[in-house]
Amino acid sequence: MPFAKGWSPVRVALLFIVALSAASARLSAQAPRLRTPTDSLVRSALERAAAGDTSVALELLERATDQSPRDANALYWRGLMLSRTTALSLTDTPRRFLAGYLLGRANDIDPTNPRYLIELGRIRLKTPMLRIEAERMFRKALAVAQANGDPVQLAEVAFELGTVKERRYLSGRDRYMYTTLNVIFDPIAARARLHYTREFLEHLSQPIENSAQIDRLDAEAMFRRALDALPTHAPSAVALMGLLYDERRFAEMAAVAAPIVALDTASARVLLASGLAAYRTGQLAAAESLFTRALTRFSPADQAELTSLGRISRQSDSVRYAELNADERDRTARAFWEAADPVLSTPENEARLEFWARMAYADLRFTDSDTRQLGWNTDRGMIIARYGEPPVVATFAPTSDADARDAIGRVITVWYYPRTETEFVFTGPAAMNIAFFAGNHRGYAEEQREEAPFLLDNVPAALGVDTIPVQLVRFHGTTPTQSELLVAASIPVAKLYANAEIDRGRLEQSLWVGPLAALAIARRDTVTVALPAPARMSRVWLDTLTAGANYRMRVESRDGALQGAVGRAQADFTMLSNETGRLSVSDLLFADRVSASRALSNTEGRADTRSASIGRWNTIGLVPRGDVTLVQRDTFAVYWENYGLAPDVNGRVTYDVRLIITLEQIARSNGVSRFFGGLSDIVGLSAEGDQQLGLRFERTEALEGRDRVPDVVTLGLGSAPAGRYRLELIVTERASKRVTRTQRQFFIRE
Amino acid sequence: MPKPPQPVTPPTFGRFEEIADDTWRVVKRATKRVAPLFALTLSVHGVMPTEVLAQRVPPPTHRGTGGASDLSAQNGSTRPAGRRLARSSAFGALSGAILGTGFYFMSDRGARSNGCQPLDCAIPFLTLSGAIAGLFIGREREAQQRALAPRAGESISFSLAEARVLAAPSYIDVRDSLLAVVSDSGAQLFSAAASPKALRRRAGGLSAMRQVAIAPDRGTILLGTGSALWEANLLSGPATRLADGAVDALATSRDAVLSASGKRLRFTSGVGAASRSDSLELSQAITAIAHDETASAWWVATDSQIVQVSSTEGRLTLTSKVLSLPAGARAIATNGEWIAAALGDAGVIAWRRDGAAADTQNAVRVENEPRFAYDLAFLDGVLYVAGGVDGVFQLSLTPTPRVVGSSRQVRFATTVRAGNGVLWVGDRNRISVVRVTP
Repeated sequence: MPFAKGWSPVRVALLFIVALSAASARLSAQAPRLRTPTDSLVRSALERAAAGDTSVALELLERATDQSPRDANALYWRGLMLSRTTALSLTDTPRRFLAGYLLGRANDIDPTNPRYLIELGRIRLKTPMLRIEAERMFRKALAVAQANGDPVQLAEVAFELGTVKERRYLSGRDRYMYTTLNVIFDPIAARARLHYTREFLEHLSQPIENSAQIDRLDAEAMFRRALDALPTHAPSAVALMGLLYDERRFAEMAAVAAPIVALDTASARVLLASGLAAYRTGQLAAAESLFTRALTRFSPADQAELTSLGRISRQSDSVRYAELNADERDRTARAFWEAADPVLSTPENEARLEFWARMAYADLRFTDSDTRQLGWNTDRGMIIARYGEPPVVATFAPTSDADARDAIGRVITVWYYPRTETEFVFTGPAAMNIAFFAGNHRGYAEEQREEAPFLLDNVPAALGVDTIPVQLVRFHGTTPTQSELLVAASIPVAKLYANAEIDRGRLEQSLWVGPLAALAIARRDTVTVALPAPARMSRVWLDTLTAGANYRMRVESRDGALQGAVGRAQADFTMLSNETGRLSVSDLLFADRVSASRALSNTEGRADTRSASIGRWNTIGLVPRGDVTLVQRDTFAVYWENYGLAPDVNGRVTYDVRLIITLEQIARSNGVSRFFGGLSDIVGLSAEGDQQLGLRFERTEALEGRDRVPDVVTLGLGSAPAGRYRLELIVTERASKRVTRTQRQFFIRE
Repeated sequence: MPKPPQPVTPPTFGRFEEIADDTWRVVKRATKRVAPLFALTLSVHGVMPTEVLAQRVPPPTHRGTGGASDLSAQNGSTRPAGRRLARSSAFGALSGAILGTGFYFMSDRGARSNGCQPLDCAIPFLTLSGAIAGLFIGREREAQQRALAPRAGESISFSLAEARVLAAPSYIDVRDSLLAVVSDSGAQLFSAAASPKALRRRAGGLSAMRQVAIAPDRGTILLGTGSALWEANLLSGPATRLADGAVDALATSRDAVLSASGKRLRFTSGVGAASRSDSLELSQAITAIAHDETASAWWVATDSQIVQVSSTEGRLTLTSKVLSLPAGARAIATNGEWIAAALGDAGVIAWRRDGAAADTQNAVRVENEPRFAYDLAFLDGVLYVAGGVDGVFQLSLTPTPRVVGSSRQVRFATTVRAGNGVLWVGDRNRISVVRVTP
């Protein structure tokens, strides 16, 4: 075929190629408009992941890596997301394998960025059999991060390396060595045999000094390295604080946390750990503030978990607690902590602080990112919340003995509480911060929970609290809506100051009264006590409260400068309701007579029942007794008020009074007398159950517009046996035959 | 009948095949026999670190080359790690070889061995596994030495004498022949002798004891608690409340007492009718007080500075000397030449007395070691620092500030005092006070 001049075949071919190239270039230019850029896909994927849609995020990332197979960023995010959606198990191996492949490629493409190696190391940590390989990955990443000088990456990788060492330390610390051949700690025997744990720890094993100390030091060095690179790296700070806590280096814990605590956005875990450090150094106000701040930084769900009373209640109570709505739970929690507070007079609630400190400890030592376990939800965390840190901890190395089911390839951890001789045994894999109840110890923990769901026997403020004997007496008030409360306390001053080597003390005495969860100070004063102190000091308070309402009362007496100089009494009660016209009596008031002019004759087993009108208790020379424990041959006055008596046409009221004293239980001092006494009680030979005194008299009195008729009798029980007695009062109105009654327990000692 | 033709095998190839067969047989047999040995070796590696070697933590008595302040050169050893590991492996291999040789002779040169033969099995594999075990042990020892060696300066060994305290000591003070210690269990007096002995408990029952100081001219012990300042006779009798309020810092000199509660300084001197007292309010919370014998004045530390306070004729006055602090001070110590402060995790700072007038440029610092400076004291011109779990540090301030060395003999040193040519250190780990003779 002839070609025109200048159109040779070569030239035509060249033109064709040029045209094709132009078309291709044009198509290429249009391509970005048709395809989503890889960066955009990654961004969208991260947004979807942040919104919780991981599967769509993974699809987008897969598109991104298919589209740009050499985009290290896309490869990284896809690998990361695949890795993060796996757990420590064999079942996730294919997914982890793919993640590892993607991250490996990313690392090949961009070897100067350590983030791929860090994630590869984390994948190794999640892969059984390959965990040991993780450290090598992290070390490589550390070298790259150091070369880069990026503080964030350096902190990340140093933290991971520190965590590898920390796991080994946690697994090997508190290690005991068997000192007898073929003897292995048996969790079942620990429950079945009395004193097994104590004897095993004392005679069949011995602690290894400095066990896992090297790993601890290495871990500390790594965490410090992370914090040197980035002082606000919260995970490293928490981990380092955990190591410092184990060595009781609380001041150093506070120093580590300081740069993070100063931030408004401080991590909740760091705040919690700082609160723990402050608590252990006795800075209770700072601890409370840090704990409160930490709680607000947790998610609402975690907050509810952390503050739940369920874990420190009996099973049935925890079920009931879980069924409450938020308001009821809050009210219940406030009432619980108010009752649990050993001393209201201090600004802090020591019981609640101890609970928070326990939760902080559980978070600090048992939270594990590998298994996504929260410390306070673990078996060990549960025991910590209920009973505090165990005074004795022992771990035993894994064995290969087929008979020791819980110890095959697992570390046995024994927590021993010597005071109650209680032990809890856990088992878990080595070099992982995981442990579960061993043998039948889960059931045992539940049994213990029913017996003692929450103990504060490790709290100094709660340990030395003495009991103050108190007598509560409720009277009608002067208006129908009011009711009077008399509180008489007998403060054991000598006992409070028994160990004090000071010349004079300052004893603060306070009365707290209020509805449940809203106790408020009603009276407070401080008296100077010259030592040696008198045996007892009597205090009487009178308060006006709402009739018929429920109240809680607390009497406290303390010298804040001394250890254990604290006494308290607490009672929940309902005030009398002032129903007009209803026959009723006040509580019985046990008192001493001090006014000679009003003194009434008394003889053993008899009472004076003179019918002259008398004034109220505080006008007739009665001193209420705080302690209703009497000495044999003691005499005492019993005062009460009658309400709602209907006068006859002459304005007089007539009623019968019966007083019955019953010996409820004889106090026997030693075992032999208790045994034989018990036998004689059964066959009816002893006085137990007998009425020691029955007294009946009639009274007629002019009402003269009064709303109440006071009565007082003086009693003496002679040589009545020591024990617990019940005094019952029955008042019967003659005309209407209406009856009302009340009773009070009292004690007689030899 | 003619013989069938035999395959002709080149002699060289046949020999090779034979050797290969033999080798493979030996390897198989050896693998079978020695697998448990390897397993044992590996288990040794797994167990050693925690159960055996943990008991062999070497006491920190090694004296390194010392002196330099470069951390990388201060691991307390001059021998390269590789050589130590090689030596350890060689020792392991030798042990294995000796065992194998022993087996060789015990088995009548292998005649009585029906399994693993001495020459082709026992000796090589025992040697190999011995070398591996030696390598692992060497690595572990290496790690121990690295971890326990001082990070700065040399490892120092002191002469010690120890006395047990009722609870972990919070604070100590020493005057003449008397040592006072406060802990959660109260105040105790000890004889500050070569062999310290517990003398008596004082002011029993007081809670939250934080500070203690002996006032020699008053014949009393001063106790700062979370609620008040108390004074008790050294010999007998009950304690008397001197002032209300939590005591954050306390120091005495002869018959004078200076204490701090929050921002307030309280001063008392003399007893009875001659008693005088005064107080002074600073702008920041007070964290430490020390009496300066040389200047006859007091140094008072807050979160950001140390001020000098004089107490002339019973009246407190601030002098013009103010030293700026980079961090809150936990303790102050002075000698004829220096004023030094322990700054917790910010290390130690010191000023030469001549230049201690409002000039922070004169300050010298040792920042990285100890990691946490709890307390400090001068003894014979040398500064000693209680460095917590890192032990007691000896610092030199001239010509350049540096860590001379440290001793971990005191396992958790939180408080240190100097007196009569020795140091007294409170050890919270062993719950004791330790007399340290440098």
